[in-house]
Amino acid sequence: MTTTIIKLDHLQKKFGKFVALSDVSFTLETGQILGFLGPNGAGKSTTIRIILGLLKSSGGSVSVFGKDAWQNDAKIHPRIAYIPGDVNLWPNLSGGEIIDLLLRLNNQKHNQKTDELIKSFELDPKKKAHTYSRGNRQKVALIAALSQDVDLYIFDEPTAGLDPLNEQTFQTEVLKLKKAGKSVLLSSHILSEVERMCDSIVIIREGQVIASGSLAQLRHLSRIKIAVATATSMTDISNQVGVYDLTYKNTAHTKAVFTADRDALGMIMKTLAAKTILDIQSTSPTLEDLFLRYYGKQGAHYAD
Amino acid sequence: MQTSNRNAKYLLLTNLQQNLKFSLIWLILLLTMLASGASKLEAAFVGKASSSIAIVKILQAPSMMAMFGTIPRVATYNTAIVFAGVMVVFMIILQALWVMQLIIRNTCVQEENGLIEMIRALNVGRTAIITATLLELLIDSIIMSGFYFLLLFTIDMNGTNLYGDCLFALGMLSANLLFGSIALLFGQLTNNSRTASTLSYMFLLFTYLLRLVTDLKQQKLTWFSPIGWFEKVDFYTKNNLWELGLSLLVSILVISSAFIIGSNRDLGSSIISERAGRTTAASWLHSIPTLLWRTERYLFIGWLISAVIFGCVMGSMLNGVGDIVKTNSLYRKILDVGQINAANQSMILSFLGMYLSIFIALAAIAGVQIVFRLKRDDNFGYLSIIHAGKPTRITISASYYCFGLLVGGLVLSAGLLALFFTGNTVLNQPLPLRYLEHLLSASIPAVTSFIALGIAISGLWPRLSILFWIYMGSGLIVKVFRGLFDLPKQIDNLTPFGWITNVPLTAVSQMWLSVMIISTGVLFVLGIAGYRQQDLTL
Repeated sequence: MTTTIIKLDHLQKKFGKFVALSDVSFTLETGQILGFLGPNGAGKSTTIRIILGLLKSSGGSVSVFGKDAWQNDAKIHPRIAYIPGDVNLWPNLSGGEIIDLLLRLNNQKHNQKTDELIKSFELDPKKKAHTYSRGNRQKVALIAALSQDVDLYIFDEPTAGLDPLNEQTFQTEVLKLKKAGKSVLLSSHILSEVERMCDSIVIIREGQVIASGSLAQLRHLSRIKIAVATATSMTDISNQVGVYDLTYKNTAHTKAVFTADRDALGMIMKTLAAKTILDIQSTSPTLEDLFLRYYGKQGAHYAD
Repeated sequence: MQTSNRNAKYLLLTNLQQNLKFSLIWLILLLTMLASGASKLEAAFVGKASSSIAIVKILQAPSMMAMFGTIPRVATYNTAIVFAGVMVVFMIILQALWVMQLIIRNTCVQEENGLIEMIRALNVGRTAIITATLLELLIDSIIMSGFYFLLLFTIDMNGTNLYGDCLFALGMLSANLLFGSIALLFGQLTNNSRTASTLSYMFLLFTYLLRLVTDLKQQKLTWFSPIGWFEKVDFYTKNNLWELGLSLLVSILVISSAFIIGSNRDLGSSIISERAGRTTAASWLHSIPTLLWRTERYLFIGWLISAVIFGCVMGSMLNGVGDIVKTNSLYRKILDVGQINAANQSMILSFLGMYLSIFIALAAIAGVQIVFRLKRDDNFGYLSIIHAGKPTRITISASYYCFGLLVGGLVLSAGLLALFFTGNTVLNQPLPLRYLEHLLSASIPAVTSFIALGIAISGLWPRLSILFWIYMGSGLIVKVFRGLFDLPKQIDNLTPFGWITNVPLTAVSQMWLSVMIISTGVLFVLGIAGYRQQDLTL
């Protein structure tokens, strides 16, 4: 049975006259991993801080485990593990000390999992925090969060500053959480990370949710970019369902670049095969593509 | 040398802009102090022979001599001589507090923030940061002393002349250079702003105590204290120039050392090598109070040791305070032994009363520093993970606030106990214990009410922490100068310093004691409630 873990209903937040969030609504269910995407300054961290009861909302409602996030933070927090976007630690404490302290403050203990994580993230726990690089500070927070057994994990851009190997370790750990039926809110910039781990995605821009849904529903987000050369002209490909952003690279219309819906790939290939394919390259959409489509102003119509 | 300092001018301009507000506030404060000091004394002196004699007598009392420095013994006193006697030590301390902070902001703090790393990667010389900081110190100090000169020239106190005013302004400029260069050197020797500022303030305290002890006991030895060099100039009387030369020479030596270290040290390094930390946390590190103990213990112990040293030094002075009555032949003739002892004791008690305010101020600073750390730790993001965990805001804020109150109370008690018992070991007629009781029962609530004010401000209006410093600073200044400038009693009664005015001669009044206890409680609760409602800036 799924229950709602986080429910945001028309959330608003103003700092003086500045409107940081104008309308943010989404839900996170038990066992779900929700990807929270948006450009810098879109309001991701503000939303997370409101969920954590660190900021008071100016309008709308936020409930976590069915309780108001601001009023009942004391009841909610013991069931949460959190990693902020920018991890700052007490400069004179060692990484090992900080991990233990963060665990104890949530009534948890340094356990076997902690040791495993220290090993797999290759952290030197004896070093003082002020000697750590950004990635190492991030690791301290990750180890402390991932060694806890709680119901909800909130990660605010957790892999910024991590090298690809550690990023991989993080993704493996999150997939373990998913298997264990835990709920995760993952704010990220990295599309591949979100695609690999998340069931649903919420995209926020200028304090508003502009798209949300399951990965399947947002399949059009990940249209494939295709560059193709054919023996005969493929002018009629422009009428093909599922073809977007078509550009011909020569006047004979035998070279073209376009993006395609995954669902329509079969039909498109059939049409192209009839023109005798000489060369074909397909690439997944890059983060830049997504930024251009959804994060930029011109992407607003996708919200509908 | 030129390549090491390339593009220092851009850094200088940026730093000047960055510190404009900070330096402007300090400059206004210093000029106000100087102008009000000079004009008040001038008003008290002109045409009032009796009050001028009274002022000189007050200043020659040991408690005032300890506080402000010696006043030269001359046949006739004029405003200028008294002005120099009162203001030199006092202004140097204020100026040192300003320039030391300024230097550390420009060097250590920027290095910690990673700003210097970014700047050094550009076409900026290795010592350009030190050069820019030094130039800023020089520019600020020249502006300051220029205004000093203008003010003194305008007020035109009795006994001043152009040369004297000019020398006073130059003296204060060289004091800035001396204490600024000390902070610059400490900044290069350590790798964090906290150690650098602690060492700088310790140096200031040490030089102050050294001059205090030598001024009271053996004035020839005041030479050993850098503050003493400026006393020995004897502004407006002897106008000794070469004492200023000594301070300039030392400044140049210290600055050169800072440059040599700065051009050879690794970025972010310290001459003291750091030990590795623990693999796991100690078993007692499991709560916010123990976290505070872990992170702030050295600061706390530093304060405690300083308070005990300060208490012991002041205590050992008590004998001298009494002796002065005893050795006065006129008093000897007209008073019997019992009366002399009583007179001695009342001198000692008034000395204690004067210094009680300083002890209270120091303890309140120690406590409020911890209280304000809550907001600082929030701003630095240290607490962001903890806020998302089990500890509630009430637990977090109450831990910082209680720790602040505890530190304030303990620093005060340690200082006063050291003062009282060291005093009693040197006094022929030890003070009865009831005076210690008077001291503690009045000053502990005074300190807690000051710290509680800091707590309320930190919870309700965290950005307005300056209000606390204005309130306590002005209260202390009024307390110290009230006798001298004949300020109305009502002004003194605006802060706890005035509420305990006759302590330890008499016990604190029940009414003011209740006011302090109740205000501590109310302000504490307001602080906690305010913090509970804050939007946290993490």
